[in-house]
Amino acid sequence: MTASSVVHLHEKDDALAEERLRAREIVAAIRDGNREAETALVKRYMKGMTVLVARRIGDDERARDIVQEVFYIAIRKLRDTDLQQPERLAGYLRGIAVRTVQNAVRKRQREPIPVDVDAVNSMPDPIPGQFRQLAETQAREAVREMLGDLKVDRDRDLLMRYYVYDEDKEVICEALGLDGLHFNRVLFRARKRFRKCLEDSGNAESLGISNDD
Amino acid sequence: MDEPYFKLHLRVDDYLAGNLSAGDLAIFEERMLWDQSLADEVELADSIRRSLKSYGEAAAAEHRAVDNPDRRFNWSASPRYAIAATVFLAVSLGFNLLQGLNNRPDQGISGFDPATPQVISLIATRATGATPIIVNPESWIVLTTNPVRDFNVYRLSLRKSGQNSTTIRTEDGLLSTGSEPLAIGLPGSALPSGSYVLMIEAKDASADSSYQAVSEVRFNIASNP
Repeated sequence: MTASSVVHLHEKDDALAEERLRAREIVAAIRDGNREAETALVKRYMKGMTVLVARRIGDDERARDIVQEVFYIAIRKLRDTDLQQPERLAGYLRGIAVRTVQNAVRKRQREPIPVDVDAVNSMPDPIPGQFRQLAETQAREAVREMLGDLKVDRDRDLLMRYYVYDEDKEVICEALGLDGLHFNRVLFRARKRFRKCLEDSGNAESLGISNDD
Repeated sequence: MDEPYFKLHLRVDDYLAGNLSAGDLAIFEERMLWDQSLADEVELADSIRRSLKSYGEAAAAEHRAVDNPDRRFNWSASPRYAIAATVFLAVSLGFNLLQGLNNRPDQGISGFDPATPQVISLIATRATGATPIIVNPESWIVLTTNPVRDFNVYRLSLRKSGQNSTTIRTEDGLLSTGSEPLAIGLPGSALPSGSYVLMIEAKDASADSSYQAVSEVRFNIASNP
């Protein structure tokens, strides 16, 4: 399996510039003892942190606990420490997350989170539990609709092989006589269609997928 | 096609497949932490994967509820057992219903005929291995073989013969009490003419046991379009 070519996600773009500015503000405010800034930090990075930790730990329930721990550690450190690169706050948080997940995997004893970090104690549950289960039923319907809309049988075969049977892209391309670009386009179209089906059914939000593109 | 969205989508697939270098992974995850659209994209791709798997499993469960006296195997012995060979049939059933509702001709999936999958028992061919098995590349193929006594959990790995050939298909965690055959399913198009090996590994059910190779079946395929 070949590694992908590097895409420079740090290329200048407006969103990145805004993030860097905001990160500096948050870091400075927390250092000054501003508790609202701590809440702002949790709110800003909660979604991405939840996805990252859940992917690494492979368990949604444990992910919530770990996310709490990450924010607790980060806020305690930011209160007392000057970051060398405050604009790279996200990178700093990522480092804490990676180490925390590693410790969790090694099943080290975790400290109970004390009550002095309100922003973490009042963190909303990102995973709605029963509601998520209900939404997944409806997601299956969206899948059925998406697959039914495919005009080419080979595209349906590709999706089943890739998503259900976890076959490698190269194996699928060779078996179906496709090039990589065609493969990517099929996935791209399927994903757009799936999102549309979910949005039309009103369930994108319940699965944690925002509707603003 | 929206070019920036397309590039983003490619990166998401690389991330989910574990194809990013350590450096690219750090960049990607750092961005994902603050870029909600990227986090959404990852969740969407993951949701598709989970939903497709869930759809297949639900359809397979529905299919198991249908009484079929001609079926030789107890697919309900293990969900993974069912998924190994019958999920495709179940999904095909779902598609046939969907196509019926949409008044489209019944074509099955990728030209497969959902009514007649080819079930090939490798037991009978083990002794010779020379006589080729005729396979319809447009059918769904189910290869079956016998489990080995004294083991509970099996892994089947199918590859082409040859020292450096890659694995075509693996089914892991197959449960058998000893009487049910083991099965591995795949599209006929994945079996072009040639020589193949089906490796059978097994272990007992205890948590610390590991797979050991117990048998292999060699056979030849002649693909007949």
